[in-house]
Amino acid sequence: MESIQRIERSSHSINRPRPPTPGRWRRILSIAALAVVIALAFATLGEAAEGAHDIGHLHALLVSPADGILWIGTHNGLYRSSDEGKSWQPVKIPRDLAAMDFMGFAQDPTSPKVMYVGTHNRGVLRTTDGGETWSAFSTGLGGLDVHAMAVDGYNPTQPRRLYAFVMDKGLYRILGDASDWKRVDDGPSNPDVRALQSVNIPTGMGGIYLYAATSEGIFRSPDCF
Amino acid sequence: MGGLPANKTVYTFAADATDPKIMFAGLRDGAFKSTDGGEGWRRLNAAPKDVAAIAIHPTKPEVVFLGTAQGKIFKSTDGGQTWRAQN
Repeated sequence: MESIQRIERSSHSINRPRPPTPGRWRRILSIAALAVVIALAFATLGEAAEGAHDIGHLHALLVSPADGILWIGTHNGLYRSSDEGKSWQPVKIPRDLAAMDFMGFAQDPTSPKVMYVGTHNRGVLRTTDGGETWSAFSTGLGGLDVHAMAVDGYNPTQPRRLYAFVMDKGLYRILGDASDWKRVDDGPSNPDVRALQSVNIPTGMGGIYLYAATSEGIFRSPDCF
Repeated sequence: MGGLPANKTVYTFAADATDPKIMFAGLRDGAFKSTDGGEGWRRLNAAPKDVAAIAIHPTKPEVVFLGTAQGKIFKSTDGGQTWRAQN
């Protein structure tokens, strides 16, 4: 049923193919092994931003369709820019929800003022007024370390699907206007999920695919959870 | 067509809402683009390294924003072929 099969091949023994991913998730790529590891790239990980308005180590980026405002989630907070990233304004977050790391966004496809952000230690925050006010939206989540979020609003005949990946807990979903998260899947076998996105590619089973960026490449699964 | 570096962390992923087979992936090694739903990927040579986040404009998909781990923002107006620093 999966049209894209795992196609990893490598001549390097260190990169020899791994066992197939159990369950519904399938690795969709990572073909070529690089000859050179760019160690310097890793040396910069975790460093705070310099000369970038102190926005700090960046995790997530969102472009709002209605007004073109850029949103970023960073190690130091949540920021928005109305001039395409030239300057940034910090977004006020209630003190009891303040989080060190804002990890990933999701925006309601039909109501762009409704946005969600996953955080490293405060679960999911939601705004319904375009970011002026934020509140906790974590009821039912198995943990508060949310590394990635996604939303599927492609099919107007089906309820919107909102996803959050909780580290060491799995994939959670909210259908439509419900307010409680339900655990629906383990997620990819590699649990270090960095990003999620619903992609409007039909699975042939009535749904579309959910893609996950991880520390071992990109995986995807039919969204028939 | 080339592919993504094997067994490297992919920090960000973005698919075009208007043409979902067009996708971007961000790694510390740089940014990559697929036009066939992820079957094949090619490196965007003009993109910076240390890519932490990528976002495609929802209604103008040729416009792509990229953020590096250090907080630098770049904009492309040609689907990732060229990039301009924003800050």
